[in-house]
Amino acid sequence: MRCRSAQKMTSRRIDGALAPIDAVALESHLSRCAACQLAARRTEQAWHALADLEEAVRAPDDWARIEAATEARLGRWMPLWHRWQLDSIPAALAVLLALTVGTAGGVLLSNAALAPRPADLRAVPIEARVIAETLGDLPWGSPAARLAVVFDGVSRLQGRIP
Amino acid sequence: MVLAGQGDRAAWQTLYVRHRERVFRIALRFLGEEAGARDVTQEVFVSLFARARCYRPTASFPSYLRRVTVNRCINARASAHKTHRLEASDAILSETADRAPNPEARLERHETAAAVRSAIAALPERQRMAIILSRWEGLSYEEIAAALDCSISSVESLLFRARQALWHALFGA
Repeated sequence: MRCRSAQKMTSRRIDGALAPIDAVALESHLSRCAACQLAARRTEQAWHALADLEEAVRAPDDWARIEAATEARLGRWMPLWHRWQLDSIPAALAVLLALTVGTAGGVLLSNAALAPRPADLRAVPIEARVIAETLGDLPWGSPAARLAVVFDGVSRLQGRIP
Repeated sequence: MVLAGQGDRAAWQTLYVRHRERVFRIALRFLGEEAGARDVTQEVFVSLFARARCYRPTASFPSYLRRVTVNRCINARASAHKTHRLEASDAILSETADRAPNPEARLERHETAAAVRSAIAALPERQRMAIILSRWEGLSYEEIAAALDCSISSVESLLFRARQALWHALFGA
């Protein structure tokens, strides 16, 4: 065993952290090494000197001060981005509501605008009429109605309807 | 601690009453003066309660509290060095000297205690904290390692070097 290791083991022995097998090895080394014996005595001497500070310590009761400081900290600690988030929740809800109403209204209006007016149905080309007579009424948005729109467009291109 | 995180003020006070002695004792021995120890104790509990909502019981609460206390003590020491506010006060730490049988013994004991306090105060911060946690808090190497956020072998080295330094300060030439 080297002296450096032995001196560290002496320190661990003071703390009761030395394994039994290491304690035996340490004693064996100390019995042969005067320098480590001296170092071991000094380490223990320094440790025992701390007993001169074995005084009782009483903590003062600072609860009122601590409670007040905690209340103050909780009130101002909220980070800026978090405060911004909390402050903007009503505004965000208003924006969301406006978007929802606007989107729904826009969809309804656009559907109403795009839906074929009764007068337009008189200009339905023969192909669409055939489909309609074959398949019955064309519900708005149905595949047959979309097909009729396609035929309508083709007919316009061909100049058959204005 | 969970109740404290839910804003239960009674839980706050219970935690404070239960643990203030331990926190104050570590802070006082580390800083060596009462005013600084009270400030550190206040800061420990205020930060504890302010962050109580985020607390997750992954380790024992005393271990968590000890780690917070150690960090606050070391930070307080660092800032005290910057502002040159190091003041020694023997008001609380002189009870043992007062119990000596006669005036001569009392004086000798007081001087020895002052010498030991000076020797501890001269240690580097982590060595000083390791000595305090080992000698007066009775912590194991594992517990000291958790408080100082280091390995067990580091704790062994800290204690070994601290004891050498104490000997040289108290008895060396």
